[in-house]
Amino acid sequence: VPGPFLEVLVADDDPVSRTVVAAMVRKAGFAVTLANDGKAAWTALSADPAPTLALLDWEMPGLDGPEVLRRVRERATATPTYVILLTSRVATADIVAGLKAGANDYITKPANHEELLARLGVGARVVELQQALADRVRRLEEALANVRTLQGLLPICSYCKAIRNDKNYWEKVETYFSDHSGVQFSHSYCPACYVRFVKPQLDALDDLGPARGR
Amino acid sequence: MEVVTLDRGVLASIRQLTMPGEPDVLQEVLTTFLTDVPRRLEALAEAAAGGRSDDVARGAHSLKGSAGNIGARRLQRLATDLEDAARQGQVSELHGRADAVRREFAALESEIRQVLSGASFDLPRQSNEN
Repeated sequence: VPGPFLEVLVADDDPVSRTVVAAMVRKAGFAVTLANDGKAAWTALSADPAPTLALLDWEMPGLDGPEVLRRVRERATATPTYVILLTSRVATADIVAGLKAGANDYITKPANHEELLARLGVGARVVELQQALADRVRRLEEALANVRTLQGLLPICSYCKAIRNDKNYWEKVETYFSDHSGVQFSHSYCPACYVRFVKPQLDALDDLGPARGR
Repeated sequence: MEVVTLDRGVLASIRQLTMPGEPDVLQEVLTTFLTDVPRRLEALAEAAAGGRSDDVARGAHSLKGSAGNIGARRLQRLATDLEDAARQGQVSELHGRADAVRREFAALESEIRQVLSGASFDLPRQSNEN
């Protein structure tokens, strides 16, 4: 079952074929956009956002299907339209040429209803996978951008060790790192600082008994 | 086997594409066919008379597609023959074959008009129930 509201472009210069194919696609629950020729198909496919899927007729006056495909594939997008070429050409050489021009699949005309819907379903699955991958890549890139901030040159105060942040404020090392990396700090003291700071304080407070530190 | 003028099974499957509450898809498709095909036949006849094989092949190819879509089996067959003859450059064949296509369309047209007027009872009625 195809995902609802996916947009399918139906491009065919033959009004009879266009009407039948559009009705099949609509019946399956997709939203349909129509194009009467190759030029209109190219306009629809270069829109933003472009249709998710397309059924593109091979033989159209002006721009034919493979030429429309070549133009579409020249523009690299994160989620390219899944294009099924519709053709009555059944010679292997034609099918190979269509796939090489950038088609994801092809269907011979006149389109069989069941086959058309099954192939559109495959297209919908591929597009969903592609979108999930594109989302994941985007999230990873965002995470990577944060890591880079930490790897940059940090202005640090030589005396109190405060760090100057991107907005020109000085903040504690702990604040800066937890804001930029998600690192959390647990406060403690090292053995040298114990001897230098903690022990004298404890010695000065004999009446309070042994160490209260962590 | 005798090739039928109009395949009723194809017509029935087109009618089933009608969405609840929407106009009958079969009616829309057949009306489109009757409006669109005559001007293409005219262009085809001119190209055949002028011996322009490439134009004949293209026109016949497109007609073959439209005929296939509505299950007009005999027209589909005749258009295929015309396209093949044009591709093989059999210029002397073109006129006769184009004429056969034109005559078949005339027969087909009257059959389609019968379907459109509801005279054909072997078609399932449009259902708006699902």
